[in-house]
Amino acid sequence: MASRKKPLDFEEKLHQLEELVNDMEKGTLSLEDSLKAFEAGIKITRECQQALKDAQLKVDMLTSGSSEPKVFDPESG
Amino acid sequence: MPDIPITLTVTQLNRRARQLLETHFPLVWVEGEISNLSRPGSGHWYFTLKDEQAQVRCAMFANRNAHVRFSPEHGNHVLARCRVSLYEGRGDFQLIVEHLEEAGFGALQRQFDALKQRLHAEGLFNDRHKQPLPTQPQRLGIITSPTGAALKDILAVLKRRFPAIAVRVYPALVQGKAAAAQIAAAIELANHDNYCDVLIVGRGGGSIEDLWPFNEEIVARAIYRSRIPIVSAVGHEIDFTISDFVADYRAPTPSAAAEVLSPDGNKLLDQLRGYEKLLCETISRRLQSTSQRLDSLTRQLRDPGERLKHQAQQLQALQARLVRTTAGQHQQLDTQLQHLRTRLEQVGPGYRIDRLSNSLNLLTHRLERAIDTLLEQKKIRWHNALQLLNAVSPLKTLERGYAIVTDQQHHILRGVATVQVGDSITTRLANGSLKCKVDKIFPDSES
Repeated sequence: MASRKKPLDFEEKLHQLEELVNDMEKGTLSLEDSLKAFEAGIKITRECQQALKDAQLKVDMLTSGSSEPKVFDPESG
Repeated sequence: MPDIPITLTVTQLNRRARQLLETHFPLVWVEGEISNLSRPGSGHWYFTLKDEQAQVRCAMFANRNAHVRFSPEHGNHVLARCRVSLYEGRGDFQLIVEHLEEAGFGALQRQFDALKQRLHAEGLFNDRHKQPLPTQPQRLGIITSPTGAALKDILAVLKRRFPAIAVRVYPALVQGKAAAAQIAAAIELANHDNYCDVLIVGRGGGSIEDLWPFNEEIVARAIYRSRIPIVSAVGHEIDFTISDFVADYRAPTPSAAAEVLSPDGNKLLDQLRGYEKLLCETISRRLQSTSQRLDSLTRQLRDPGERLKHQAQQLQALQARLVRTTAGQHQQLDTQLQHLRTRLEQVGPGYRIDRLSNSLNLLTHRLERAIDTLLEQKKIRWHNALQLLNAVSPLKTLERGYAIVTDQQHHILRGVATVQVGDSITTRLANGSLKCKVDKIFPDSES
């Protein structure tokens, strides 16, 4: 579990998206920057959508006796 | 006790005993177990309160028992507030119950109220100490029994709404004597672990005793100390615990806690789709406006040509105006000329010629008629003359058998002297002429 992927920060991503769209709507970006912003925005959107679709609930358990959490299977509980 | 007669009637005794009891005992709380409960039609309740060693008869009248918030049964452990009295008619020592509550409940309730008041006074419930919940938690800690319904409920909600949250369980007993300490320790552990950005502390519904650990001071203080925001989710909607008051947020049930903390995945997907659409619209608008601008700049580049064209158009327009103006003047002159011509015609020789010519025509006509009349008259006269002539014409004579002979020169022959043999002569008869050849001449002897 040491290499556990950092969970996607959706809030941050949504914020980024919002900023990108705002910047684009302001029309102050150069055309090139607009296109870059567009690509970045679509990329974030896709990532988030994919992450949401693929997400599996990951549960572990930490007891006071151990220093490392162990995987917890709610079905066996 | 002065003035007590030596001998008392039973009635007197019972009355005095009752008065004595009622004046010497204030309202008292008595704890015991209910037995021999009877509720006759009068609405009053009669029962016996007992403990291991003793028992006492009790009456609770209808006007009081209407306020009792539970339905007492045989064997119930209760707490009664009552006046001590005596039923004179039977000489029975009895309690008149004013208020009745379940003993466990009452005791716990008082304990609860006392702790609540104390912690409140200390400021543990103060909104100033409430930490805001993360709008989108990434790592959720759950402090509850790993085998309980609460955990299952929470995980089910997360799975449905937003499985992208990582969950860490900090196990703790949630009922029984050891529970409070374990819950408090788990909160400490979670803070020490410092992995989660929000914690749910709770359990499913149960009796007030089951929920009791969440009313313990040790739990309340652990919640208060926690640097990680805590959502308290204990029991059913109606159950309020001390934990609920101290926690940063009180959820009515564990499921509700999970709902509050998890964003709605479907809503998020909708939001993402919305952003995607917005991005596409914005960029396509941008591209459109850029290309429009390019077009307009291109048009501006062709400016001289446009200007020439424009000027040519202007020139054309001026020309047209000029032509129109000249034509207008022409027409005006023309009209004037026409007018003058009419006037001239009226005063010029043409007009007089016409008039004279009319007169001439008239005269000619008259002349012609005069001639015609004259001719007619002449013709009649001629006709008459002709008839007269006809009457004296030699032709009549011819009809009577005479002939007129002419020579070749159409000279009427009046004698033979001028005729020679061989001459051709013409003999005219009444209805025709004979061409004859002179064969012989027979002059008259006389001649």
